[in-house]
Amino acid sequence: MTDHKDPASFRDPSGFVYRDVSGKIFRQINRPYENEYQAIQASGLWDKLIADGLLVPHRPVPLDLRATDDAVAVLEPQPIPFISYPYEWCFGQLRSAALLTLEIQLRALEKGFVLKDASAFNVQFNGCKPVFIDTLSFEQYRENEPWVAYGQFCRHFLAPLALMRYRNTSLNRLLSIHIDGVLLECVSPLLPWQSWLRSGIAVHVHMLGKAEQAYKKKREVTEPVSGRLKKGNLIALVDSLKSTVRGLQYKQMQGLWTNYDSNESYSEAGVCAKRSWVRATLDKVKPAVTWDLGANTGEYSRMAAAAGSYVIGMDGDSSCIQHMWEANHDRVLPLAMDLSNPTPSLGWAHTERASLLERGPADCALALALLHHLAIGNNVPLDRLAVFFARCARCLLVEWVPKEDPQCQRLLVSRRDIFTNYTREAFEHFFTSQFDIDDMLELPQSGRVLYRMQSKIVGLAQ
Amino acid sequence: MQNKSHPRNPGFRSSIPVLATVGLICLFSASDAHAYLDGGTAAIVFQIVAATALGVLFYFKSLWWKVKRFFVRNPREEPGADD
Repeated sequence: MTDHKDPASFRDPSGFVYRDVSGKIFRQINRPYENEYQAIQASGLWDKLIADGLLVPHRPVPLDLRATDDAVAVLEPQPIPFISYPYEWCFGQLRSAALLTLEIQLRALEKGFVLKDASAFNVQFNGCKPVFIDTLSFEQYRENEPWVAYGQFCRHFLAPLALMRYRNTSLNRLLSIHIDGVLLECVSPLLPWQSWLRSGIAVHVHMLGKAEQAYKKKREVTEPVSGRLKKGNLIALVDSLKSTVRGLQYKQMQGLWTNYDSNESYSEAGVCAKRSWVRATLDKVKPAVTWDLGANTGEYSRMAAAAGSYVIGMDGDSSCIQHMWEANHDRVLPLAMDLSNPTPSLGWAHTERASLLERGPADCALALALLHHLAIGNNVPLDRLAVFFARCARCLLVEWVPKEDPQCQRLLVSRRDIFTNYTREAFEHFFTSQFDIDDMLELPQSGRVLYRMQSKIVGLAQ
Repeated sequence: MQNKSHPRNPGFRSSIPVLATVGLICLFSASDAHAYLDGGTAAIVFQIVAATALGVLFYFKSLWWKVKRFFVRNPREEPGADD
């Protein structure tokens, strides 16, 4: 059988995720997990978690579909429309993923199980709803045994949440460097003294960080650590983590673009024409998956979702992403993404966590009121923009913003205009080397032009 | 699970007993630890100490909630309750 093992699924010997030749996703359960698998099935824990929408649904399929001979069972999980990573989430997303993990831990304990890991990468989003995807993260609870994933939970969730709450909402991006969670000894000195006043942060971040540092200094090899932790005390620990996460509330920062809608330089007729053209085009194209690049507060993401698309709304401003996430749309996944530096491939052998482009292409990409930010704000030449967009999606809805536009002029206020090539002619020249133009609309009382284009890249064109 | 606001944790006052208890236990227990020492080990040793202290607080918290539930029909927050 020719299968493709998921490059992120190799650490746990209990099983792994793979795709068959048609691209269908499966999870193989290996022999070492057989006893746990039987126990967990008998307990009804999975069924209850799936029924309550906490765990990704799956169905057992015949063993013939296994990828290797070590299999004792094969599950077919419901696919997640778009894989995202904690360093792309806003505060609210990471917080909800943390609460989901703790809720699952408490429910598992009730049924005599425990989470053997508490990685933020075990959570994915269906629209704005978090769902736990690592079905094999459960093992039977052993009486008086401490929670082995406690430190991991603090590094993956509490530490970045505290940094986002107290310092800057984009600091979860540290998780792209510290792929197994932000080291507490790094986080503790970065937090303000006021964070010591919150008991949960004091205990689970500051003091745990100090304990880890102290043990590192003492480093002596003797025997495995032994200690007993009563189940009641373990529940108290999880309850304390839960209270700590719940106590961390989003602190509104003045976002760059959350007021952008109202500041735009369109005439009323221009806005109406743009909205109706985009709506009509989306209805015509009917994309299954849309990437809204530079989504701002998500107006056009919601429009694409209304046209039946699953939308990934990306913006570099995490306050915009928080705003979109709070709208709680079930077909819009907001992600913090700096398009001048999009998520690269990360992790082991550069394959464990996929780059943005590796997770595409989308059926349609929206690049509305975006071009000038990349071309003028970030000095990216138009030919490079055309190549990037052509790799993003089969169909592109792009808005040309002329240099005379007030928004462009704002970008040029404090700098020399070196952008002699930033003209509509050059834009059309470079973009038609990558795309075929299917349709266009010049917006009234504005130099802005909307284009619908089809990618020429082999393998992408429909 | 999301988008609901909750009353903020009481700040400094609630921190004092936890900090003092955990701090004291850490102080007396850390020097006696014999283990293969790495970050994970520290988290496990620390967890046993912290959870023991938190267990005492949790007991009183649960007791308080039982009393509150007796008098108030729908208390807003409960130990272990869903978000």
